[in-house]
Amino acid sequence: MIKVNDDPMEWRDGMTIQDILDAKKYKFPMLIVTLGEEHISKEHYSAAKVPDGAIVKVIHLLSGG
Amino acid sequence: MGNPYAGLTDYLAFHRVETNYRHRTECDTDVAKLRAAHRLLKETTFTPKLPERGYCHRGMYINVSTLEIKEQPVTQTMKDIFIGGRGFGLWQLWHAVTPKTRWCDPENEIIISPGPMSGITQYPGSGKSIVVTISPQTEIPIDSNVGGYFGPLLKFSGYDFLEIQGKSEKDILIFIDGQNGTVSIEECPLEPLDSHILAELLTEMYAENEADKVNISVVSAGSAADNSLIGMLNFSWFDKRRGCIRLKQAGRGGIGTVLRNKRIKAIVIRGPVVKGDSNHPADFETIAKTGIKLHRELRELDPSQCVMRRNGTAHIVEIMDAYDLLPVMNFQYGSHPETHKIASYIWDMRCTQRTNDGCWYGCSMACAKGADGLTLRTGPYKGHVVTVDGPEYENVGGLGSNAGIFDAEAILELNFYCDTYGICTITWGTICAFVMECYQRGILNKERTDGLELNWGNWEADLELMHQMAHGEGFGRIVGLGVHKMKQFFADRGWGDPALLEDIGMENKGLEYSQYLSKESLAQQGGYAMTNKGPQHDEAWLIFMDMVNKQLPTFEDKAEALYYFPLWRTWFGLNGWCKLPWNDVSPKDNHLRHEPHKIPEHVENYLAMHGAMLGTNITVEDMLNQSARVYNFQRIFNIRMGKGLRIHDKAPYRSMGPVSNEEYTSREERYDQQIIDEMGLEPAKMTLEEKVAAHRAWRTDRYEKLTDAVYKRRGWTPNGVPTYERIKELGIDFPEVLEVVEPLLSQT
Ligand code: SF4
Repeated sequence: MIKVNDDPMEWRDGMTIQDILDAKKYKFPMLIVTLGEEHISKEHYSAAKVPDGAIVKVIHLLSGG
Repeated sequence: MGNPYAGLTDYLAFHRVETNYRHRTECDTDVAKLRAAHRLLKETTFTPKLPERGYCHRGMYINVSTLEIKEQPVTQTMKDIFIGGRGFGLWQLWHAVTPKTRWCDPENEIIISPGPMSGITQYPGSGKSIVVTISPQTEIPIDSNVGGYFGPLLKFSGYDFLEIQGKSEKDILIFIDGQNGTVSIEECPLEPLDSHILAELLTEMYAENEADKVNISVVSAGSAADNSLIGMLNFSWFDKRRGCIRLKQAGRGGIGTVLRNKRIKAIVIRGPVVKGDSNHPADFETIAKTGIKLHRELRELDPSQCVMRRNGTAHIVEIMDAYDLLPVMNFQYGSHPETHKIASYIWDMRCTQRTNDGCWYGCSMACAKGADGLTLRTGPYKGHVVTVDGPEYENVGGLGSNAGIFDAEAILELNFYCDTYGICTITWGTICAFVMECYQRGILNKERTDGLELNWGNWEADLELMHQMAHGEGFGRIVGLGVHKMKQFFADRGWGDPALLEDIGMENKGLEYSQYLSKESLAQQGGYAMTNKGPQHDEAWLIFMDMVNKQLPTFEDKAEALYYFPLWRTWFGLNGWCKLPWNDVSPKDNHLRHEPHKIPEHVENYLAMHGAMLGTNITVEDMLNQSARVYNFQRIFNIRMGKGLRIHDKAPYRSMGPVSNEEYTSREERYDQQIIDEMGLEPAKMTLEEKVAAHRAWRTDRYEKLTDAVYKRRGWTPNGVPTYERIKELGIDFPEVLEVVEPLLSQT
């Protein structure tokens, strides 16, 4: 199990940040993603492997209006 | 990742069939004949001057009853306390009206004020004005932010604001010539009302030659403003490349209705030729340097961020759908399987690209897109080929999904007629969504709508209703009253259950909600209903922070956000800035900054430019206090006019949770989980009705607790009245202000 923005999420082997964004339908282009303490940049979403028990934050910047 | 349609957009752009962006039906009206029919009622002269450090130190007052035209002073107190823009508008309006003044009284004013930063050409988004009046919809002050050239041209003619009072007996226009230093009031019997023609004709009429057209800007409404309470104002600018006028809107609250109630067809300004330093800032170099930095950021990062330069704010249509935030069928649902038909890639294709789409000089965000070559299928201009401004996100959500319409060409036509008739697209969207839901639930039927079948998605009926309203006919006359008055109208006739009408009528303080679903974000529910003017998202858009990022877990966290953001956003309206370049692009290293959601580097840019313009030096704290003065003054103004208390910050339940069983079922998993986690109940043992009722009790209670926390943070009593301490601390303890709050504060 991992936590994404404080919500529990089922973990699976080989899971990447991109998998999380796809599963959560996080399509907004201005995101700040951290895996534990580490900032993950956009180019690395598909490569960044998420370990079991990880704390992931996907901060959406404001937009709209 | 990035723009989810990025690949598709490139593909479609490659295969795009370009429309000829200069092709449109020409207006063949004889301008000389129109002008010959003008009768000069009053003309006076003034000395044009340019601002110094952002201020001209005078406003222009025009009374269209008495034909008085005079200068108004801009005092040091006004500059210190009210800054400009919305602050100046509210201050002037306060002195013009009494608690008894109604929107249609001659005392009511329309004040247009660009702030001290308005007119900068180096930094994107610096050409805004704020328009203030007593609203026909809310009966309290409304402020509406608008682009187009009028505000900066007024400032460069030598005025910090234009204040219009009185009521004319005949149709008139006001012409301010900032090149020759004259102001005239002219009877103008023959001009048509609809803005796309009127602004074009008046630009032609008052420009000395083709090159002079960019110095003309026209403020006008449209025929709907004569026949409804929801009329808006168009502010024009001349688009040299297209060879036509374009329009930006001061949409909210019915200001166009007030303009037409004064029998003003248009206000025309002819400003001087704009130069890079027309504002005469204290430190031009800092402004130029800061601007260059943002231009570069936009050029490099916009294509992988919001793609504003291609799609404008419509870039978020599919994003809102993905997060369940797109208003669908009167805010019942947050997404729809047909959203792809109105998603950003459609607008990318439909809008002409590689044109100059900034609504003021130097705006490289250039989001004021134009869809050219639309052949109209209905109404008085049927068969005409026109250019439509937008559509912006709000127009797609309001005119499209919220009415169940997923037809791009229909949305464009609705958008065109809203603009030219002078109807706020946001307001129309929420009104139509409401009447369509009433039709769905049998509250309305064909007999009650004069034969219109207002089913979801019926864009032809939607347009027909709009034409009716614009011409004061049929059911359109009722719809033009707005949601608040319609609820009463229906209830008085026994049409529907009044409690249900209250639940689904998406308005607060008499103003319709803008186009985001706030049900799953408590902070946004407050961001809508605990506003000064009514539920417009320009005070606080907190849905991502609250619902998605979970950055605001406690009531106090939400209250802090509902303190900071409304004040930050108020500051844009004091100064004359557009909000979009603040947060629709963000610097590459933004993630390294503390509180990245505030885009700290951009906040620093604004503070630096403010200092560079005025020759002062202010901190974030100073900025918040500047805004807080005006914000609290406006709250007290509301109280003075009979609103502005806790009861007026109540939200319709549709904005807070599921009204109907179908809404509940559409998100059953989420709602059932909340029953377990938040209420400690067992959904498996409850009927659907019991679950809906449990949610209502829980959500309503949370909203009350949020209200307590927000009022406390803002320095207000539990009834929503700014306390003596807060008023004094802010320095707005003028006797007439204290007189308003005194009776309320002495009760607590
Ligand atoms: S960002 Fe868009 S709305 Fe704002 S000033 Fe620029 S063109 Fe106008």
